Amino acid sequence: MKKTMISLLLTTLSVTSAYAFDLNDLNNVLKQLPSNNTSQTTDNIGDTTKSNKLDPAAVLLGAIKGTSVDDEIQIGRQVSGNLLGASPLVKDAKLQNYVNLVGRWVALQSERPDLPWQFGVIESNDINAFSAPGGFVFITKGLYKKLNNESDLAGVLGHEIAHVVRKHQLKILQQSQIIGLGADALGREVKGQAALQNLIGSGAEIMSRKLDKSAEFEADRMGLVLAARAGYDAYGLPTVLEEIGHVAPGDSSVALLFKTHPAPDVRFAMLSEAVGDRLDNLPAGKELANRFYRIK
Amino acid sequence: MIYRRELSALLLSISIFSSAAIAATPGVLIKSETIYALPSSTAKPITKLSKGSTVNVLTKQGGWLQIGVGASKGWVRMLSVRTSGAVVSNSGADLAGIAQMATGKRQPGQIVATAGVRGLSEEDLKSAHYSAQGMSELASYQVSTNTAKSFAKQGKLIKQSIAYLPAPVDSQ
Repeated sequence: MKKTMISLLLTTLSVTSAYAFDLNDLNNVLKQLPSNNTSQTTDNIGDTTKSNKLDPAAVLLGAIKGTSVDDEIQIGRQVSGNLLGASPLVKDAKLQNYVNLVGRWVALQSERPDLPWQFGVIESNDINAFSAPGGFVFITKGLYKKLNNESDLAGVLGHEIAHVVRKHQLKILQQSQIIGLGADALGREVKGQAALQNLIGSGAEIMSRKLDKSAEFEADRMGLVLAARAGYDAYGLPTVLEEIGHVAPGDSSVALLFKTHPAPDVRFAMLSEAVGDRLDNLPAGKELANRFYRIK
Repeated sequence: MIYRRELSALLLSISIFSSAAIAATPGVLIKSETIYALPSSTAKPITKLSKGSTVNVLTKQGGWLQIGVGASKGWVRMLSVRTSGAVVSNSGADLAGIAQMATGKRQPGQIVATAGVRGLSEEDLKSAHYSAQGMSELASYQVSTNTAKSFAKQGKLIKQSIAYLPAPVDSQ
């Protein structure tokens, strides 16, 4: 349900980097991009058509501008790899396969069906879910155990898929002026995975950052619809929100979730307002409780 | 004989009813709503309940909840009934009040001991290092579009054409 791609770039670089960076305005920064990037022009700098694997600034520009899916995936891969470094996948191949089947089917109902969607259940008793640019989606074992059927899972994954489809995390990066800093870093010939990590911040900390409230409500509305489009009972996501609402707010398993998301009761109420009587004529979807894979 | 069968059927239904009644979850209407005889807005309306009314939730069916109100029963949209925190009397609660209740106050009686349980804190995320092995493992579980479609077919999932929902006015 949450993930954020904020970058602590400014802090990170000023504290940990040997370089001294100037905060140029965007135009000045863009002029510093290397001339050997043939896919760019000086007056249309963001339109990279190919991924530039080594230049983090170009990677970010391409991803944010939406011109390079490869760049977006590269950012998401870095963040996701860091998350798995903190919390590995649950060692249960059947579980992981099942979640990929459900997730891929739900993602196929979105505007970005062709991303290389990958889904994973991570080894944590926290109640949470995460996503990263490019189609990476994770759900904790703690949240998975709260689910009762396949439509619940579809609703939760739908929320995360919506964040990816709407590029909510990338927008946060943009807002934090990472473009300027990234281009400056590029000018100093900072390259490779380490540089990309610098741009993203420390470890997978970006996943503990808060998205805008309206982005969360939007992801809820979209997640509900994506699950319904996939033929599931549309009410899996609000059912899960109710489940989470039963966990005491002081419980440590929901500490990060509650820090980064509006309260589940509020999210439920917002869904209630958004749905109203709009889905009254929708044919009943499937819950598929029998097929739901239960963690041992 | 027939009489006996009917009697046992009656007893059976009573026992089902009472187990449902025992399992009933308290709920609060978060908006004023019509209660219907069946889980459909085209069904006969039974009554109307105002926001803040407390009900007993008996069962769920799709987007509908069967509720008990006093001695009678009916169906209401599930998105109109909140069950979490429903024991709290909050007939006048608005969104802000709900938010405060859910996030602000600790409820010591309900806190579950979690000592020793592995969580995922901000610190964990901050100090995390890239796991190449984890990423290749993750990739190994990726499924193709066609595999996902077959999986949906097996579950008799039927695609629906539904537009995204507009944001309600008060979210802006």
